[in-house]
Order: sequence, then C-alpha cells, then structure tokens
Amino acid sequence: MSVGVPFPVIQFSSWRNSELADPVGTRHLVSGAFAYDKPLGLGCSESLAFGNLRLNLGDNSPFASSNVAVVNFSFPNFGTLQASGISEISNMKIWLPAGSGTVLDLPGSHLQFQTSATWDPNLVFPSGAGQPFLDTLPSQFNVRRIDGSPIINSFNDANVSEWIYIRMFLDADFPVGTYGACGSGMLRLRLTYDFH
Amino acid sequence: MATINATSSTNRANRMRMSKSRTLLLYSDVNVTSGAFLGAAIFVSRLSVNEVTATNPFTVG
Repeated sequence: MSVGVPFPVIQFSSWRNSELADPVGTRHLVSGAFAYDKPLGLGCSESLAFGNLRLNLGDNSPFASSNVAVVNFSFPNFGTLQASGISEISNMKIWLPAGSGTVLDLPGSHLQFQTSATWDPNLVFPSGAGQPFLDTLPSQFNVRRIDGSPIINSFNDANVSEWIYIRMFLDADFPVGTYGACGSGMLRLRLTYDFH
Repeated sequence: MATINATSSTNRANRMRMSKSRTLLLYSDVNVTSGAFLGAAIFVSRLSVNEVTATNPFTVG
C-alpha cells in the first residue's frame, strides 16, 4: 500500500538583530515586523549574510567577527499536512553536513550558534559562546519551538522555531574574499526533522 | 503537488524523492525505526571578508 504524503514547506527567515522591537505576533510572517529581513533559500539573493567581516591591519585582535545573524523557521503548509494525517514536526536538528561548509574547511574560521526563546537585540555573542555546527547529524534535536516544546504542530506565531543566533569568527589572517553563495566555496546549513 | 511514496520498499534510495521548490531543496524518507517521515531543508549563506587599513591618528590638517 502506498500513501501519498505532501512535503512540509519550510519557510526560513532572516531577521535584523539590531532592531529593538520584538517581532512577537508576526514571527511566522514574511512582513509586518521592523526586524524582518528576508526569506532564506538557495539563491544568492536569498542567502544568509554575515556582514561586517573586516580585517583591520592596524588591529592586533585575534578575530574578526561578523554581525549576529538571526534565523527562524516555520511550516506554512501545515494545514495541508494535517489534512493528510500529519500531526506534528519534531526532532529538529540544524547542522552543517560534511562538504556543505567548505568555507569552514579553511583554517581560522569558526561558525557558532545559539538558540533562544527570547528576542535578544544587539546580542553580545563572544567567541567561544554557543556551540559549533556539527558536520554529522546530531544525535539529539537542537532546535525547539519558540516556547520550548520539541514539536511544531500548526502554522501561527506560536508555532515557529526558537531564534537561532549565528555568528562567524575569522582569524585575523583569513584571506579576504567573498565566500559561500555568490562567492567561492560552499556554506549551506541544513535542517533535518521528522514529521508524522 | 510533490508527494512521497511510503511504500514498503527496503531500498532507501528507492524511497527518496527530491523536489526543488522556489527556495528550498526538500526530500523525505521513512524512518524505519520510528515510522516517521524524514525531511530536510537547506539554505545557503555567504560572507564577504574585507580588509581595512588603520587610520593614522596623527595626520596633520
């Protein structure tokens, strides 16, 4: 017997961490909040940008650090999924499969993330904080719903992921250039999940 | 609509279907231990690394 099941449609969004106003109420929408930046996807214009990576020749600090990037996600077609018998999405793991982050294969690059249920504008995210992205599938889920539940079971403001704060650190001798989407190498983050 | 076929095939590759939407690459499969479907999505990232030169604080003007 075969069963046709629709795919979950995932909506990744990028948010501006410099915005003070909490986007609560529109965290599942692609507009309506000052902090909303853009949808994320596979194209160059839809890539998550790590800005402000400037290596200062006159500065002896060991790292150049990017602005904090903020990502969340939701499942806009959850109603369709429910109609097909899908009741929840769980076991959500964000990671960087081997070969998907060739930028990070260069020595002196570090990508760290931290999840949070709260909107933390202008987050101070020092080197060593948070956790690195694993290049193998994490054994445990590492992203929850915004209220801490391990499952997402609808599409609304309350059924979005936690905020995922991400920052890139580079050693001061990292070569200048453009990397990842629109540049050299590859930097693709993956979310893996169960739905049933 | 893209669908996955949860047949009783034991070959993982046979049960995998790929669909490319406007923004995301999705695939799904059946987890043989839990019975749940597995899904994945990807987004890309980029970084531009620039170099700045220190400003001489002792310029005469």
